[in-house]
Amino acid sequence: MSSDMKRLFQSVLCLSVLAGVAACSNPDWNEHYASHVDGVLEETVLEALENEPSVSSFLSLLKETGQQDLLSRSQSFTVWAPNNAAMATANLTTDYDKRVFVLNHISRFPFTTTNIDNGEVKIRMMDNKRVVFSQQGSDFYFGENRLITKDMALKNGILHIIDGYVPYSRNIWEFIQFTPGFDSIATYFAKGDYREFDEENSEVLTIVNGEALYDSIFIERNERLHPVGQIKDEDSIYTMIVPTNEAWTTIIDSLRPYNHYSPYTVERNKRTGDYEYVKEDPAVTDSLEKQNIYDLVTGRLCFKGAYTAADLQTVERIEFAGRREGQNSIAALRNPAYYFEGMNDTVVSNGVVFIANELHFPTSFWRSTFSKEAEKANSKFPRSYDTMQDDEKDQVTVEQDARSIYVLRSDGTNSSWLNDRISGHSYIQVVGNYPAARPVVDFKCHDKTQRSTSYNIYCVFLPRNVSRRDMDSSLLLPTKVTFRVSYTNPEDGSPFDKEYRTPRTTNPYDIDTMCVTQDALGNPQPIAFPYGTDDIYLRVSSAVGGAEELSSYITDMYIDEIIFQPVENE
Amino acid sequence: MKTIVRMLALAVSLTLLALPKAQAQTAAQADSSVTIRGIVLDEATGQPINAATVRMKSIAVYTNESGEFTLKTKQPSTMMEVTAPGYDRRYIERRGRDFVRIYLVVAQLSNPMGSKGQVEVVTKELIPEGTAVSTVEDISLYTPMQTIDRILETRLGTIRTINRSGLDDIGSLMYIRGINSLNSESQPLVVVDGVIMESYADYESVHDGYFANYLANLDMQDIQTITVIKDASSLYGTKAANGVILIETGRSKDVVTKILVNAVAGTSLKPGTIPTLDAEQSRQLFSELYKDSPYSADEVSKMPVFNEDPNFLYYNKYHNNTDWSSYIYRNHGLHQNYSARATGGDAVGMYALSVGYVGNKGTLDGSDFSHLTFRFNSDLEIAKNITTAVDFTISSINAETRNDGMVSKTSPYYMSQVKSPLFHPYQYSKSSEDRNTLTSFYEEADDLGINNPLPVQEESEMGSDMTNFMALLRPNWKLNNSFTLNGLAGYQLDKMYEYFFTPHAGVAPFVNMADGHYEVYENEVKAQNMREIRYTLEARLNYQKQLDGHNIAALLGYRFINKDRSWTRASGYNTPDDEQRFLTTSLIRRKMTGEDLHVKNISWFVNGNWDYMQKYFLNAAVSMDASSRFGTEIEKGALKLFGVNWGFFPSVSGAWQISSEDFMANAELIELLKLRVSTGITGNDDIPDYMSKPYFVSHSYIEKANGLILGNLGNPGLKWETTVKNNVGLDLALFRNRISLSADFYRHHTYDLLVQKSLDPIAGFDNYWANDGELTNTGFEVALNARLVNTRDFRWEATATLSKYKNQVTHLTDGAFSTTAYDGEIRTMENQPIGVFYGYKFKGVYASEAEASTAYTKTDGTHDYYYNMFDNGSTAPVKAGNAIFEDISGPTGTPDGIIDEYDKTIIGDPNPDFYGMLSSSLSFKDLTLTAVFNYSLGNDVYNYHRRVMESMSTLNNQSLAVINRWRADGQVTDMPQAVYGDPMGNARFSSRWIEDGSYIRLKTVRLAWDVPYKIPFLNDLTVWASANNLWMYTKYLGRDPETSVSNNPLFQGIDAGLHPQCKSFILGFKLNL
Repeated sequence: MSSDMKRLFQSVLCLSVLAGVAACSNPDWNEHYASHVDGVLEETVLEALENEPSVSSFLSLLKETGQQDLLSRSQSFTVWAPNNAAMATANLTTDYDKRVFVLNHISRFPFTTTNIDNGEVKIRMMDNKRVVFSQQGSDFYFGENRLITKDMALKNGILHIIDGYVPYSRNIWEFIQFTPGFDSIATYFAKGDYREFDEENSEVLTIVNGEALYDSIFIERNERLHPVGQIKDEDSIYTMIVPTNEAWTTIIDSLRPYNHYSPYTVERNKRTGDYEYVKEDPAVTDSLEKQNIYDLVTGRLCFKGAYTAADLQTVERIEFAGRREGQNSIAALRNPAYYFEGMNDTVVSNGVVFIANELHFPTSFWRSTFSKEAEKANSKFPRSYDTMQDDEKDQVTVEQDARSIYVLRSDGTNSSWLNDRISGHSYIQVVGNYPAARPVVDFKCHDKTQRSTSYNIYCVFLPRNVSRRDMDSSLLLPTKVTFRVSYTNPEDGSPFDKEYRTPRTTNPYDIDTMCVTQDALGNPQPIAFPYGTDDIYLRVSSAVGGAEELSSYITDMYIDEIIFQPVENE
Repeated sequence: MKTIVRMLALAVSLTLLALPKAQAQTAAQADSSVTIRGIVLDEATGQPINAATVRMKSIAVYTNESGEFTLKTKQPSTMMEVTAPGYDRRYIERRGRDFVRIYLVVAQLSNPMGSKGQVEVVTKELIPEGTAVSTVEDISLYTPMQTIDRILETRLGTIRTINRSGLDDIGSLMYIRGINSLNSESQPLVVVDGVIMESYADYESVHDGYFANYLANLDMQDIQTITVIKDASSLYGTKAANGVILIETGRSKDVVTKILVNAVAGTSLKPGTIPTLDAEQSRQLFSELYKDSPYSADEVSKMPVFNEDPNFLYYNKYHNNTDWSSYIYRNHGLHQNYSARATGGDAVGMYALSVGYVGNKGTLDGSDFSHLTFRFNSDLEIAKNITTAVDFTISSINAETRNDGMVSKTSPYYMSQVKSPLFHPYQYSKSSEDRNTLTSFYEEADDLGINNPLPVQEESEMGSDMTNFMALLRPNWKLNNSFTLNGLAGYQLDKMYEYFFTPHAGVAPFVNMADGHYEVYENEVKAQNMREIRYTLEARLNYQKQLDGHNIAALLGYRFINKDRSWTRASGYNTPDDEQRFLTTSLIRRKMTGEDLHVKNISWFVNGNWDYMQKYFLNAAVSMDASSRFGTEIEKGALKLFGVNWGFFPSVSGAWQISSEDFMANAELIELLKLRVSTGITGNDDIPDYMSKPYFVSHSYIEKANGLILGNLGNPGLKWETTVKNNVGLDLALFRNRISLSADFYRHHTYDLLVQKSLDPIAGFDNYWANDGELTNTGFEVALNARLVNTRDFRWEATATLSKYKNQVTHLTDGAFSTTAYDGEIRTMENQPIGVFYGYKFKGVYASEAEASTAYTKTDGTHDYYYNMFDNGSTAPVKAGNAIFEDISGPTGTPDGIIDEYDKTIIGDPNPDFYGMLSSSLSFKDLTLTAVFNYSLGNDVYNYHRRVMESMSTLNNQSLAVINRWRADGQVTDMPQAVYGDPMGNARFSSRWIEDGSYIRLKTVRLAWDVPYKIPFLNDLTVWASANNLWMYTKYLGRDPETSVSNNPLFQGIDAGLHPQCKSFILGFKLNL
């Protein structure tokens, strides 16, 4: 071989070595993006159960109930598998019991012992029940059951083995529906279930004979639960008074005289264009009246949070759970132990149930206080009849000398030292056009939940230094006001119009909840609103008497809310 | 300044040391002629070379059949130039010898080191011998899919070149000797035929991840020489701080008509992608992530992706295993490049006419482009002693683009990475009888909010059209033997039009709160127009004199540049449908903005060059620059003349060619030995336009009223950045040029850095531009070339370069500051380099609760968890499965068990420790095999791409690496657990995402064959094939460690997932008619 050829050969050899190196140019890449993981992570939860003899009974039950496919899916689950000894003590007879038992030990998502924060975590199981996963010392518990084997990391989840089992527990809805003796309320609720075809979200699959064939999507609703709370839902915790059939019938009947529905509606006369009172169909009125009472009763039976009878002895107030209009801080029951006295409590999966054989509660329980936030009605509409009918919102109208109304947030830029005591963290400031102006402000209070009974009306004033606590004390002056209340009797359309002419002086240093409906001597004079009264007008007028009083009073008014307080035993 | 004085003294001393001897020699040689005899031999064979030309100044003789020559001259020089057909040109130092033995080497590669003295420099600039300069010639053979920045990458390893991305026309960032600026232009100045090019570094494209590369307007076949000036020895004062690249285009040198034809065609391969989870793994991850999502377990159970009942109506829609990358990439790209060039002329005029076409079909669907260039260079003799060059160039680039990288939600690549394989790009039939049939309708954005990349790829309409025109007139009037007057008048017109349309199909509409109400945006249209006109006027008076061995050259020059740029950008949403892809008045949220900019620069410059007998060289130059960008009230460092502030930029350089000395007569092993030294001041005038002046901008008030508001406060003291450059170099060639070495050591000191300073909010502006801060760049460059084998038929030449710079911010008046980029933090602080990454140190993952709960040892010896501190001041223990971050410090300066801001530190430096290239050229007879590697060592890369793919905090699909995520107590892994929203900050900016970006890449390997057969009408034919990016060694976990998301020097080393460089295979031929 010539020297040239030898060098050429060497060169080719070098290139070959280079090509070889090319094959492993980035071993770190290959290692980092390896497509497999080592060890147990290659096994599914189902395979792990099959390989673990101590849980063979649970595995058998799993297969019997047809849930084994679940645990071989490429999703993520956690199984707290009772060992065979625990399974031997479980008394499962029906298919339903077996199925919910299995689902009560499986959760979606991986949960390991490291997920336990502050001693415990509540896990939602496949049957929607929540079970406490906790740590006590060095041991971990699922419900009351100790983990024998923990944190087996598997391809599609986590497996724990426990020394007991967690029995299936009913929730409030299931308690009402499946426990004998509550048929009345159970039937009432059950009839509220309905499925609604959701055309918007359903897709047209094809057209057959000009008709669209949908992939139908239904929405399941129960509007009868709106005033109550989502008692079907395991995520929400409630305390509920469940009346027996007798208690249910009694309370409904007793409330009817106080909850008439207005027999009139207002309609526009197509010929004249005027609005007129038209008498409703009595059957319709009756139906609506009943529904109002049902909503009223069911809406007062359910409370947020889970309280046993023992808990209620130490709790000052509990909040109503259901959705209601005009809900505010007053939507709570004070001194609940008084109302729950004598009822037996039962713990269910989403709270506590109290069985009520009778519901002899005072008037204020059924006819709640309601209030109106002053700031929520800040539109300046002409006070015409049209507007009153069409506009469902409350209104506050500035009259006479008032320059403007400012809506201020006490937790915002106008932060207030009174913030926690200001309803809705907002209030209005009514400002006069000029220093000696006597501004007037009108509130239109509209509340659908208003019932026919007597109310005292309160107006809540705030001191001038609401947004500036360090205001010079010499500037902390009261204001002087008078009131006027009016409404239209729904029965005959006759007006009610009453003025409270005695000037009242506000507290210049603190919140002043001033009773509007009182006589000159200061005695409360509640107004008995007729059945169906919906719009009530309250006028608040500055009564600062001319320039000579400007050194002692301010004309600006700081108003937080208007409160309608029902009168007991009218 | 002291340094400059010292360097200046050294340069002068070097010259003066040798000067007395030089004067003695002059006296001795002045009166008598000199006879030099010698023989010229082939180095490989030792055979004499007949008809070789030996030239000393204006005297030239030929060798006889024995290779011998005799040269008599009365004006002796120390240097002889020896040329012969088929051999490399060689310069021989006489060294006082009467007889010289000269070996020539068969022509092969031009010297990849490109050091001066080895090649002919045809540029008309005065390049002093003491300058640190590199040149590249003979480019046309190596032009597949190349722009000059990429040529320099493979031909000059001493320039740090970073491909912006793998898109073929997007170009590269070039850093010459470190980074000299924090906020301003850090790219070198490019001058083509004496006209300064506009880099458009500040031009903001409407396309994410795209850069309109102005260098793509140059056809490689037109380029004759590229000269890179790295030190301060240029005449471009305020524009030369980042180095100067001088490009000379080819001109006709011969009246004989010659035609050169290049044809190139090739293909590129689909690039690799980060491997992602398959359908099963993806669903598995989703089901874990949903645990902490806003959805309840019940809601999750009902989600279609988890419904594994095959009878489920939409089972097919949610149960695929789609490889999304296959829909956005072609398996092969196609490249074509054709060019032709004709040269010739007569006694009156010479011409060089060329046309070139590049057509490229990229592997990334939607990255096609075409270039068309036309150049006409002519040299005319107007009158006796008066000539002029008249040049015209027209080029057009039409590029199709798509948003690129992991940044934009409408980037097809981003979508292909993060979109779950569970979905399919096309809809399945909804007919109950035909559910398994795919339709031709695009699937909408999926339930997880990820768009469908296919319609974005196919239905988008995005592109960038660039048109350039340049006309040059370069008259030359030879006044007498000593004086010449040169002029230059240049007109440049650049127009750019960018258009952008993203479809509604497959893209999730996004809802935006605007003016108090919500608006739904379905598709989007944008367009941008830019026009820039530049006038350049230049005049130079040259002086040249030779006297008794002394060569003197000097020039006085003036340059004026006027730049007018105007641009407008318009955008809007919701065209009537996806077929309407243009701006109309029916769009909602219409926006329009634009600018009209006018900038003027004036420069006066003087340059003096002296050498004696080509042994001793001295150069001094000064330029004085003024710019409309400068403030009117500059306090220090400016000369106020004629009401204008002038920057003053002097430089001095010297060289001593030791090997030319007589005492080197017997040192035959040393072919060349030269010392170089230079010092000088340069500047950077890339101040954002009008920043020195207050101005008003138009403003629309709630779209009801128009008016003017203050747009800038202005800083009348604003001026250029100043960089002092010092350089010491050595050129050495041994063993008849078999080994040659060029080494340079430099130190750059930049002060008056352009920075944005914060303002009090009462000013109405957040910040303003000012000069403040200093930095240095210190480093060396070494280039070594060896002709390892040099026989007649077999030759092997190898080249290696090694470069290093150490960048350091030395002064910041307002202290350290952070800049946020791609959810990362870039820290600028004293005694640290530019662009360092600042964050937490990732140390792994807590395998068990036992380990986590005892990780922190308190001062009393007890143990506890480490606690993460959140923005709201709350803390939470760092438990098993969470990332371990080093507790470096606390409020008291010591570790405190809390992982918070005090624990941030420098976690990476994107600047390399070393970089360079290696090349090898093997020739066997007419075949030449060339391989070029480039490398970068020690540079860190912030792998944002991987961060997006491994954070596991959203419902995006993730990389395959996350299958090793922590799942349960005791599992040892470096991949934290998957938690929706990442509440514990496992994916925060930390060293977890900083990787060693070192690499060595086989940039190109090429086989060329000079066809030896004689064909009528064909002078030369070369056929070649090359393969690019065949191999790379790196530990980097992204697609390509060589990437750059921005021209901003602070944002170097960030991998945003832009298109990587692909393997490509090219065939081409070049023929001369």
